[in-house]
Amino acid sequence: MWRTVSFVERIEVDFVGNLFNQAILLGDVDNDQVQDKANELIVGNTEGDLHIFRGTYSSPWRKCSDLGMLTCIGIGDVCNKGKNTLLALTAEGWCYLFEVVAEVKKDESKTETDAEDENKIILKPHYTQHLPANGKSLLIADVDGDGQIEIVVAYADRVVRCFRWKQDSASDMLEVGSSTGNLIQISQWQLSGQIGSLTVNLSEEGKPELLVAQPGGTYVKLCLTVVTGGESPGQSESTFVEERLGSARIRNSMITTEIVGGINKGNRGKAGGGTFYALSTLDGTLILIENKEILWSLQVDHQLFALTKLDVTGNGTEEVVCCGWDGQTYIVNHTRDVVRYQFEENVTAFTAGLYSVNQKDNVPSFVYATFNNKLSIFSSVFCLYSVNQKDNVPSFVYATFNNKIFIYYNITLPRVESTNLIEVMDKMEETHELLTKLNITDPDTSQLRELYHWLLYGWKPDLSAEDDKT
Amino acid sequence: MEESKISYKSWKWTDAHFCNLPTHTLLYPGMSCGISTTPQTNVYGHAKVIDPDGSNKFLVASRVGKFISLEYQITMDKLAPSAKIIPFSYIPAGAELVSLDVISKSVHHKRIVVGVTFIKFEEESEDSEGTCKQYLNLYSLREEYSGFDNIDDCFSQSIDLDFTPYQLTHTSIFVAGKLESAFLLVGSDCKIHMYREVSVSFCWLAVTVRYTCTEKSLVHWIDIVYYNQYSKRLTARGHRDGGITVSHVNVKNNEMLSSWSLQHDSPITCINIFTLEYNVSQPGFGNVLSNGLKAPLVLPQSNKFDVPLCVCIVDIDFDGCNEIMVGTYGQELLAYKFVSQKHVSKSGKSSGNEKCEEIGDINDPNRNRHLSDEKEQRPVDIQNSLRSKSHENLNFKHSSENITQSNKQHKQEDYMVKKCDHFQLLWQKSFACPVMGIDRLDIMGDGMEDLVVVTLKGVHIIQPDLQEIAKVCLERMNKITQKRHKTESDKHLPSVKSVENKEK
Repeated sequence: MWRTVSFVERIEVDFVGNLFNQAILLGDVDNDQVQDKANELIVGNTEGDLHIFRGTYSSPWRKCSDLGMLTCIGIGDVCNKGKNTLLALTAEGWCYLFEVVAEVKKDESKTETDAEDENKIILKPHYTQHLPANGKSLLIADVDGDGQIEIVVAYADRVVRCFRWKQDSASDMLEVGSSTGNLIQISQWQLSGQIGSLTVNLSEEGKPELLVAQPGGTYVKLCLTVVTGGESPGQSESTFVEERLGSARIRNSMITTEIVGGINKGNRGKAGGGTFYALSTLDGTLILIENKEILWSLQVDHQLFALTKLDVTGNGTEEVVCCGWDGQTYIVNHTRDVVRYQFEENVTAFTAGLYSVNQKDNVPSFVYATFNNKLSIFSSVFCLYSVNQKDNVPSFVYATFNNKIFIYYNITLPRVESTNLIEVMDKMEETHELLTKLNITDPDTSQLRELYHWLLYGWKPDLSAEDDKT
Repeated sequence: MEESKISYKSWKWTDAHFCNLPTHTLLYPGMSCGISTTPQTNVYGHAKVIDPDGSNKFLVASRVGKFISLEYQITMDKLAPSAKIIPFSYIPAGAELVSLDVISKSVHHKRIVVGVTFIKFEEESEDSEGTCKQYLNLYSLREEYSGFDNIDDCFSQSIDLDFTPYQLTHTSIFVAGKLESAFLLVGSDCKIHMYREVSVSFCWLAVTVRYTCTEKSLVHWIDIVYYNQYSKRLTARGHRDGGITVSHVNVKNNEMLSSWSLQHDSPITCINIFTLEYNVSQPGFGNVLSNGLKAPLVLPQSNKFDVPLCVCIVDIDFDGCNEIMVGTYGQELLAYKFVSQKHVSKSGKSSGNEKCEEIGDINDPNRNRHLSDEKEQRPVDIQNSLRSKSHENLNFKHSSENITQSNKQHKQEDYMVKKCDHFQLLWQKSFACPVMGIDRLDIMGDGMEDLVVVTLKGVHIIQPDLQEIAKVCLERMNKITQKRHKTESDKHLPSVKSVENKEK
C-alpha cells in the first residue's frame, strides 16, 4: 500500500469563473527577487479576469479584467531584459505582457486614499499583440540554447509556433516602463496529433530540447536549427523527431497526454548530464523517462490531468507531482516511492510550486482549483505550501469549481518513501563502525530495535556527564 | 522571557502515513452510484495491539462497526504501511459501535483478546417503540496468531448488557496470587463492570466490581496504574459531572490507603496518571503523591482549541522526561513539556541536559543526591504544592482543561510570578479533523515510539525527522564506546554493565 499523507495548512482565496489548467501559475511576477524572491499565485479565467494573489490575503493583490478568454499564463524574461514579465494569452489570440512592479514602501500606502488604493491594484498590460488564435499551451524558455528566451505556443489545430521578442531601436530603450518591440514568429511545426503540453528538457549533452506531448502517451521532439548558409540565411528550419517509447501499458492510443521536463536529478545525475522528464495520461499512466528510456511507470485508477514537478523533500531532487480530476494527488520520487494526498473536491486546475506565504520566504505548495455543483462557476483553488527553505516553499495549488481558491502550505515532507529508524541508521556508515566497536556484529532487527529503544528512552544524560568528568 | 532560556530540542513531527476509515455505503449499497460516506469514530474507538515480537498494530473502528488494523510491513525490501479491514463476526448491520479494547499478548496473557461494545437498535414494532440492546462482544484469538488474519478462527462470545456501555479498558488483577488480565467496562448505571476469563473454558464472566461508584455520576474515563511490583494500585476516574476521584489501594489486602477527589465544572473527557520521568529499564515509580489533588498545573493555551478530548504521555524529545500530548476537538495536537526552575538553572550550566533518573538500580545513591539538590534549590511553597517530599514522585494531570478560562489565566500568571514548575507548550500540530485519540506505539518496529493520532475520520501516524533521531542515536552510541574504552582501562562502572546487558 502506498503511503498517504494529509495536508492541513491552507489559504483560501476567492476567484470566480472557469479556468484552464494552463492559466494557473506560481511565480515571481513583481521582480522582487533581489530581496526575497517571493512568489505569487496568478490565475486567469475564461471571463478575462487576471488576478494575482499574494501572501495570505484572500483578495487579489493585483487584478485586470476584460482581457478575453484567457487560456494560458506564463512568467519569464520575455524581453531578455533580466526581468520577469507576465504573459497572458487568450483564445482569441491576444497576447498581453504585464510588467508588474512591487509596492515601493508600505508606509506610503497608508497615506493614500481609498480611491488611489483601488487604482493601484488595477493592472494594465504594457504591451498587446495579436497572435494566431486558439493557443492552448504556452512555454517561456530558452529552447535552442542561444541564451535568448523563446515563447512557444501550442495551438488547438496541432500547430506549434515559436516566437521571440525583438527589441526596437536602441533609442527607445530609455523609455521607462514600456516595452517597445514586438514578438516575431521564428518557427512553426505542424504535428499529427493533438498537443497536450509543451516542455523543455535538458538533454544528456546539457542542451535544451523542446518536447511536445502527443496522444497515447507519446511525445515529439521539436528541433529548431538556424540555417547558416543556403538560400535564406538566418531563417530557422523546423523539424521534429517522433520518439517511440517501449511501453505497452498505454491502453488508449488517443488518450490525452501531459508532459513535464527538466526534472532535476539531484546527486544521482552526476554520472550523466541532463534531466528527467515525465509523461502522464488521462487514463492513469505515469512514466518517468531519462534519455528516451523508461525509468519506471505507474498505473493508477485516477484520471491524471495535471502534471508538475516540485522538490517536496527539499533535498535538491525534484519529485513528479500528478493530480487527477477527483483530487487524488500523487508525489512520486525517482525510485518510484509514492506519497498520495486526497484533496476533498473535484479539481479543475492544479499546480505545484513555490509560494511565499509571509512575503519573504517561499514555501512549496499545491494549488487546487475545484468545481462546485455548477460547472459554469469556478470556485476554489487550493495551494499547499511548506516552510523549510530559506526563500520559496513548495506549494500545491488546486483550483476547484466553487468561486474560491484555497491555498495549502506546509507540504514539505522529510522523505517520499516510508522508512524507519533502523533503515535510516543502516544507511549511515558511522552506525556500522560504532556497532562493531560495541561488539555487536550482524545484529538482527529485534536486537537493533532494542538497542535504539534503549538509546532513545533509557538514556541518562547525567551518566555521560559524570563520565566526562572522570 | 524565561521560556527563551530553556534549551530543549523540539523536533518537527510530520505525517508518516494517513489512513482513512473505511467508507460506508449509505444508500444503494453494492451499486457504483451508491452514496457513500466516511464514517466517524469516537474517543473510545481505538486500541493498540502490542506484540512481543515487535509487529505492533493499531486497531481503529468507525461508529458503524468497521474495523481497520494498521501496521507496517516490509515487502520487496521496502517498508510500507498496510491497512486491513478486519471483519469481526457477530456485529449486526446497523449496530452502533461504542468502544473497543484489546488485551495484547504478554507474559501472563498468551492470547490477543478483542473486546467490542455496541448498541443494536431494534425495529419498531406495533406495541412498542424502537428499543435498543447493548452487547459486549469478545474475540479471543488463538495463541499462535499474532494478528487478525485469522479472525474467522477466533473464539467469540457475546454478552448482553443491561446498561449503555462507555469506555472499555483492561487492567491486571491478582487471582489466587496469579496475575491475569480483565476487561473493565464503564456503564451508564454508574458502575464499573469487570469481565475476567475463566481459564478452563476461555469464557468471560462478569464480576461485580467491589468499588462501584458511590457518586451518582457517570464515569467518562478511568485509568489504572500498578506500581511497586503490582503491590500498589492507583485508580483515577473522571466523571461526567466534573468530578475526579483518585484512590490508592494496597493490592495485597485490598486496603484503601487513601483517596482524593476534586470537582471541576464541566465533564472530564480524559484522565491519565503519569510520571514525569521515563524509565525503560525499570518502569517503577516509588512513593505516592502525598498532597493529593491540591496542586493542579494548568496547561497554557489548552483552552483555546475547543474541548480537549484526549491525552497521551510520551517522551517526544528523548531526554528521558515525559511530555504531555493533548488532542482537542479544535483539530489541534498540543505538546507540553514540564519545566521546573531547577531545569532552567541547570540547563544554563550543563548545555541543556535535563535532569533524569539514574540508570539501573533504583536505589542508586547518586539519584537521591540529585534530587536532594533539587529540593534545596526549589522554593518552599512549590515543594509543598507540587511534588511530594519523596524523591520519586507522581504528578497528576487532572484534566485541568476544564477549568474556566479566567481561572486559568489567573493561575497561569500566578505560576509565572512564582517562576515555579510549570508546563510549557512545546509545539502544536494541526489536523484536518477533530482529534479523538492519541497513543504512542512503535508501529514501525524500529524501537522508536511513533505517535498515532486518531481523528474523526482517520488515523495519522506521525514521526519526527529520522535523520535527527539518528544523529542522537549515533551521539549516544559514541558516548558508550568512549565510556567503554575508559572502563576497560580503569575497570567497570555499574552503568556500563547495564548497557551491556541491554545490548545482549
